[in-house]
Amino acid sequence: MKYETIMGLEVHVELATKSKLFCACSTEFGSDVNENVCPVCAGMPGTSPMVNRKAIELAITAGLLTNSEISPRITFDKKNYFYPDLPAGYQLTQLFAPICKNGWVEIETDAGKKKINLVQIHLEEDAGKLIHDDWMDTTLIDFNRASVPLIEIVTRPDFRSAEEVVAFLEKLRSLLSFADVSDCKMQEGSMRCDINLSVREKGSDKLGTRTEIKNMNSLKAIAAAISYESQRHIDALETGEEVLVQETRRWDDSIGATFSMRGKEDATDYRYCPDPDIMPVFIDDEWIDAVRSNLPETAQDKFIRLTQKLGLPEYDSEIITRSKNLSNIFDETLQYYNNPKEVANWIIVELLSIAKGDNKGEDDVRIDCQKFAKLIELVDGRTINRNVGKKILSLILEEGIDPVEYVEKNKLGMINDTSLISSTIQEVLSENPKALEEYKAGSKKVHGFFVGQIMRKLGGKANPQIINKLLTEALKEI
Amino acid sequence: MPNIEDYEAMTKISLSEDEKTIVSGYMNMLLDSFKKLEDTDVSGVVPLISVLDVKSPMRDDVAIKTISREELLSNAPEQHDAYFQVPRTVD
Repeated sequence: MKYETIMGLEVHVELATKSKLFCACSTEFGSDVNENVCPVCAGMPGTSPMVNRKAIELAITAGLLTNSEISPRITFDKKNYFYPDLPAGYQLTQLFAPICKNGWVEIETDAGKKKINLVQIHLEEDAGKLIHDDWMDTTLIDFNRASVPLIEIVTRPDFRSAEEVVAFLEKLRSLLSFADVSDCKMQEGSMRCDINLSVREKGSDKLGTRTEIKNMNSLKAIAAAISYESQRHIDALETGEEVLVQETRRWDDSIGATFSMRGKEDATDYRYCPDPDIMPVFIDDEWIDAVRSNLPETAQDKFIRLTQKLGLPEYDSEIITRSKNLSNIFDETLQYYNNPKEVANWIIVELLSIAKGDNKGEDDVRIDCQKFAKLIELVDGRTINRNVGKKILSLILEEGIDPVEYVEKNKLGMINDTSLISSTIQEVLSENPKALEEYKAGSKKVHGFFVGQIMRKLGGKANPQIINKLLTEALKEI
Repeated sequence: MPNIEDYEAMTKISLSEDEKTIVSGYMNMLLDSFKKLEDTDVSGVVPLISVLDVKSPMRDDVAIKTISREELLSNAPEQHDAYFQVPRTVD
């Protein structure tokens, strides 16, 4: 490979606060249009922003998780621009005194471990949503998202491949979601990233022309966009047909290409200046220590606990600790029924396959963990068999039934009565002389056929181990 | 160093050639005045955000609805289906 691609990221993460960064409006996703807007976030004259303490705390948390220095004194600055997605005419952000500096995150790819360095993490407000109406030739604005708190994580140009970028974003998502800093849902826009990319000949110490791909919100699209954009740069360098310019580009997922959006602004275009309405916020060591002492278990800590203390296989632990939601379900269910191996099995095999069938991701599965635990206990204690258990799991998810009551009411308790099972076996064998002949002729497959027939006669509720044992004995005697 | 065309672009204000000459003159006067600041040694001086020596007060993270959507939209020159409506603006 003659060329190398050099990338840096700007990752925007919406903070999991209940209210906005500078006012008390709700941050709830999916509210009705313009329901969560007040005079402050509507940019009315005479209103004054007031900082949300929780947002500062979550940003400190993000800083601690990324080995950053936390600034003792932070301020907020106005970034002015002409675009109607923020009604004040500027975005409140941090240019001069960002909350975190000089952090790093370790990633692991097939090429090994690598440290990605962070320039800074700063707090800022999100912008409103614009809908461009071609028919009416107007733009419609919903300010619900305006002023929702964000952190922007700015990395150094340390990335050399799409794998590294994806590994970094996954690591960040794991760190931040396990600490409840953000739900990091890329599909809902609570985590999105801009990629700064340039290409140079390997061995050169001069950077090539840089382009920025804006607002990427899926890992798959990010990998595809990086591959497309670096090839475009290489082609331009090789053929000279296209001249690269420093600009902002947009990725079109349906076409699989990037397109020019606009020339890159210089920082002076934004006329940054401190907001005189917001006084400096002071962050003392006491506050940082309090946040540090409340840091929850990271995915990595949890993986170690699951494998070493609870004795789960690495495969199971990896799946459970990949998602904050799954790992919460695991921990909570374990409180009601303390059998880690079975609980993990039911989550990975049954719960996830139902979720997949409903087109739900790992983060979107919801279940009443107490009922889930009861169900696992019923199967584990051989009160019901596994197949009945699977059906009940669907009913818990769909209708919220109580598994113990349901099993009693519908008499689904497993049949362990050996004399009943024995007589059913005899019935089935005498009703199927042809299959019996096949068995005698050496066909072992017929065993399964007999089990199915016996189970059917017993309404699917019989204990499969007892059927197997008694059937094997009965067949031996023939 | 930005020139007069850069300022036009930043402020989204177009100037005639005559106006450019006049505004350039004023801008240069202003910039010359500010240049005096460069002679001042400010090393170690914390940038002044406010003349008041106070810390920012902070709010607890509680969501409160303060005004209704009707009230919010009542000052909007144009609205459509509860959206604010503005001339088509595409970035």
